[in-house]
Amino acid sequence: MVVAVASDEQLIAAAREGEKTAFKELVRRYQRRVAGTVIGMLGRCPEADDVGQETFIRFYRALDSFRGDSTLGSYLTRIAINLSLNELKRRKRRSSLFSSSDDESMPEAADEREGRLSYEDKQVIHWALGKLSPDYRAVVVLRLLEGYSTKETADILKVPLGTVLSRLSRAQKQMRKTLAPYYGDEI
Amino acid sequence: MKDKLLKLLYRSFDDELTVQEADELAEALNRSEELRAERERIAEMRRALGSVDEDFGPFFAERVMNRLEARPAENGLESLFQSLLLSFRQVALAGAIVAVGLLSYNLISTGDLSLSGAFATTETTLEEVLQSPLATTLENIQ
Repeated sequence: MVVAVASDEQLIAAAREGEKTAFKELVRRYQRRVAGTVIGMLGRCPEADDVGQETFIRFYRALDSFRGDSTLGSYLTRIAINLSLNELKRRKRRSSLFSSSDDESMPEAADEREGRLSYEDKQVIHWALGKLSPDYRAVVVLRLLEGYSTKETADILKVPLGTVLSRLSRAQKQMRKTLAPYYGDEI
Repeated sequence: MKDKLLKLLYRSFDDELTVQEADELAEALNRSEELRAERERIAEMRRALGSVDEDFGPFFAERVMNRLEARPAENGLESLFQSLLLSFRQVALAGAIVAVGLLSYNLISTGDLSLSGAFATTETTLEEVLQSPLATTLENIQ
């Protein structure tokens, strides 16, 4: 089988048979999506890479039980978001023992705006995301960063649609306030 | 800016508004320059969020595969821990059953419901321990 052109289903079937190259191809295909979720939730940090790896390891272990009821992307996103939420809980416990990173000052934004976000712009966005509570952050990451619909976001997080909408609205309001100096305006 | 209109504005990005709500928002947007500007800012923020494209860096797939290959050793440790945990539970359960059995036997035969009675243990003082044959033997050796 030529893994590069094989469908996800074919790769999953081959991975179940123990074909490592098939599983590696699945990792390659979905690593960006998982990265978007995990880095959106945790920010750029060494733990993000670990959580990303753990996401795929959990998926590997669950290969036999994956029935394809949801798309592979949603399935991996669900694992990634749950692991990220666990990591945030661990981080909170640690930060209550040691110093907190919540009061970090706002990073410098890039002067020039490009179609593609600069590293500094991304830092500003991650900084603003980091100010949100984990529940709010999860809906923003899924709906606005990853582009899932509100229905899909509700399914992944296993919360009612109304909850997603209200969290989304409040989270955006909060982010607008946080980012007000960056946008150079007042609300 | 009215809070209700602002809420409606945020909702309009993600939810289908009723005809009445949509009309209300459209009318407010026509009237208020401030609300129009706010809509633009929200849209800009959402565009910025939507443009965030992240990656784990080079050789991520290789790192995952390396961890998967290293997994049997980790699994070995995990299974040792699991079997120890399981053995401990079984021993603890068996101990509890024995204790309950002895207590029941003592209660029926002597009417005594104490742990010391069930396990035939008595309180021992430090002097009694020191005067035990073992302590005497140790003294002789010295």
